[in-house]
Amino acid sequence: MDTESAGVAAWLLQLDRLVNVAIGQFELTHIVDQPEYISIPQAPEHCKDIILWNDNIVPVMNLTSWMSGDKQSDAPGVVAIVVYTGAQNNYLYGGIKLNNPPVQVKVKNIQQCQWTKSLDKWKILSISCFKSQEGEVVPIIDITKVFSQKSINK
Amino acid sequence: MIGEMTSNRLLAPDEACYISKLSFSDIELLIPQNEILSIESIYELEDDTGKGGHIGVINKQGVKLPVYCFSDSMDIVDYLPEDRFQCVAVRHNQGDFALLCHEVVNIVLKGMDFKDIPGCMDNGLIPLTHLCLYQGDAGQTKLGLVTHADFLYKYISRKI
Repeated sequence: MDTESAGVAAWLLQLDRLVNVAIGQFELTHIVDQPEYISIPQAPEHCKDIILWNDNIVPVMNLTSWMSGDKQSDAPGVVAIVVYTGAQNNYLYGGIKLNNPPVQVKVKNIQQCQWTKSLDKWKILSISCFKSQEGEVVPIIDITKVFSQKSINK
Repeated sequence: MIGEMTSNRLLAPDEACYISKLSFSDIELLIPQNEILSIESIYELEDDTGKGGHIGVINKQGVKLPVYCFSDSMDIVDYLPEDRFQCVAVRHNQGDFALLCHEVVNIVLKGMDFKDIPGCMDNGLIPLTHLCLYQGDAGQTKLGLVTHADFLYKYISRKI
């Protein structure tokens, strides 16, 4: 079976009850359930916490907060540990707060779709988007952009 | 020395960092020991609020140093929290000032790997220069919030 007919494997990350985003299959490294957060004073609301994972200092992104610009609840939830490439071509880890554990999906080229007005802000952090089987537009996020200063703090 | 480190520089395993750990509320700041001028009791604090955002002053050899107090989110506050017992005078290039702390403990850390503040977090407002991992008293891994007197002074100047 070729890739096009089967689709490409990706992880669907449920940020809250309404918003899902997707990342590539190999970008998800680990899932931490109910982690212990350490707050960094004066950090932006969308990225105010650190978790310690495997002797790494992992910044945790609350993309729902980034999207809305509001303070979100601090329910422990689940953190997806993702890997991305740093400015010096080194591998770095980041965390993304989720409502539920990630779900693996297959995405086909024919699912690619246009951005809707309500998802305009996601363009900053995304490579593209696709329409899920439920008809929802799902941004495919660029992990490096999510964890870089210039993109996320605009 | 931590004061001379470059970003993400891993010090040799036997290279010692002499650090003062300033604790207040749930925060522990790590500052190079050579930037600590003195540690005074809270009873040395003289009431002198004024427009500079400081909560009072301490007298160091005839010079009045402004004393600042941080909240648990490191905002500058003009009241004295119950848990502050020590007043730490710090030295930097543009003058000296003091901070109210719960406790000051000197520690020696070896083989430290000081990490830059993650880019996604770096909004230009964080009063820290680096983060690090170190072993706590009970052997547990702790997150160190690293800063310098110069950096804190600039942070305070921006806030007031």
